[in-house]
Amino acid sequence: MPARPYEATISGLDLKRLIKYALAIGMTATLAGCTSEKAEALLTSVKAFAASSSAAIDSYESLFQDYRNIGFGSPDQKFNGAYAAIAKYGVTDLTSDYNNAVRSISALKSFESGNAEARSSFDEIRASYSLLADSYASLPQGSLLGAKYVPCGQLAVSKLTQQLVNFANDIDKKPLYPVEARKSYEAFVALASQGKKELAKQKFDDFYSKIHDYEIKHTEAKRKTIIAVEQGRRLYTLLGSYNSVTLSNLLGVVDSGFMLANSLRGVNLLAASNQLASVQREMDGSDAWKRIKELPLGSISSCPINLK
Amino acid sequence: VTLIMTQSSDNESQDLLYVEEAESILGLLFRRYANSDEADQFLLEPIISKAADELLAARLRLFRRGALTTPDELAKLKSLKGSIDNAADFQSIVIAALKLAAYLGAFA
Repeated sequence: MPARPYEATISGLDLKRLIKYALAIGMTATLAGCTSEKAEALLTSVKAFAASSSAAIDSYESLFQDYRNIGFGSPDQKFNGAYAAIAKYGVTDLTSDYNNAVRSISALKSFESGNAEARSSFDEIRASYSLLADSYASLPQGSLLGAKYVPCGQLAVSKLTQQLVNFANDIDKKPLYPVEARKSYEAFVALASQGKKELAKQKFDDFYSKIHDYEIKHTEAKRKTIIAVEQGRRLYTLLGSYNSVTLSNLLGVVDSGFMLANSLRGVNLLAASNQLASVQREMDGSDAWKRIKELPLGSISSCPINLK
Repeated sequence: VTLIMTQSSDNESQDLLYVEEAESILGLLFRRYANSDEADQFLLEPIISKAADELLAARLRLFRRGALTTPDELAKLKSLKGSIDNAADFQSIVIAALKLAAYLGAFA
């Protein structure tokens, strides 16, 4: 496997290290410009960002789970198949393989090693977002993160925001149409070629609804991503000028989530994609975002970095 | 144009080709499946499931980390597609399906 020049994701561990570092410096720092109301508002905004990111990630997880689910018929069909296989080929390594038989039965349920891997991957991704929210939790009480070092959190926010944009792009470029849609489609082709119109229609309807249902869920994931990305973007800007931002600036991050959720209701997949693409163009056009994009996570942990 | 830098964009589009190729091979397997009797279908099911598991895992790794594949791996997959297209007997389809799962699983 080729070495990748830059990691596209932020692991929980890296983030933990980064935040610990920020906290350590923060404790010894002055508390200039960091009133407890502002700290409270900052915490609320960070939590809002973490919550909407988590909601977006949940919907991607669900797309991945659906991607793999293949139904292979009832227990009776399984028996008929197993029986017919032995009748046809005799008792061979393939027809009487115990593990194959178990696998064949267990495919009836939505278990599967692949899905377990999906679950733990997404748990890890979500953990980095909640870690960000947790790391600000003590700010209102003791202002552990001195205002001077809030920009360290800014880097984490930017990485986590860009990660969401990456997720959306990845799925856009190659949608996760469920594998089962192919199964229905191929069954339709086979039946149509045999002139079995009624049966072919059933399979085509299955195929149609699988694609259609997928696109509804994909669009929903995009909407949630746009909300989280917008909040992350605002948070990023505010963290960069924490000393001068106002309470209402900070609470505006939370508001933007509600407002976007409303305005995006009924937006289709194409419009959602366009909106995200324009966010990305904006990020690509900004020198600060570009510089962050090029920073490997390791160098971020040597906070503070001069972003200006 | 993502967090993955421009230098790796070649790898990125190659990964997309790789996933497309793997998905279309799975489509070929489903085509064989749809045209099989219930005995062969029963034997193909666990193998197709296995290949789908590995495809899910590969897509997941792409989703999380970006570029994965080399030109050599893409070529291997393309030749595998040919062998399923031309498979004359059931045994060669089974072998090709197992190979697909193995190729995809190699990124674990």
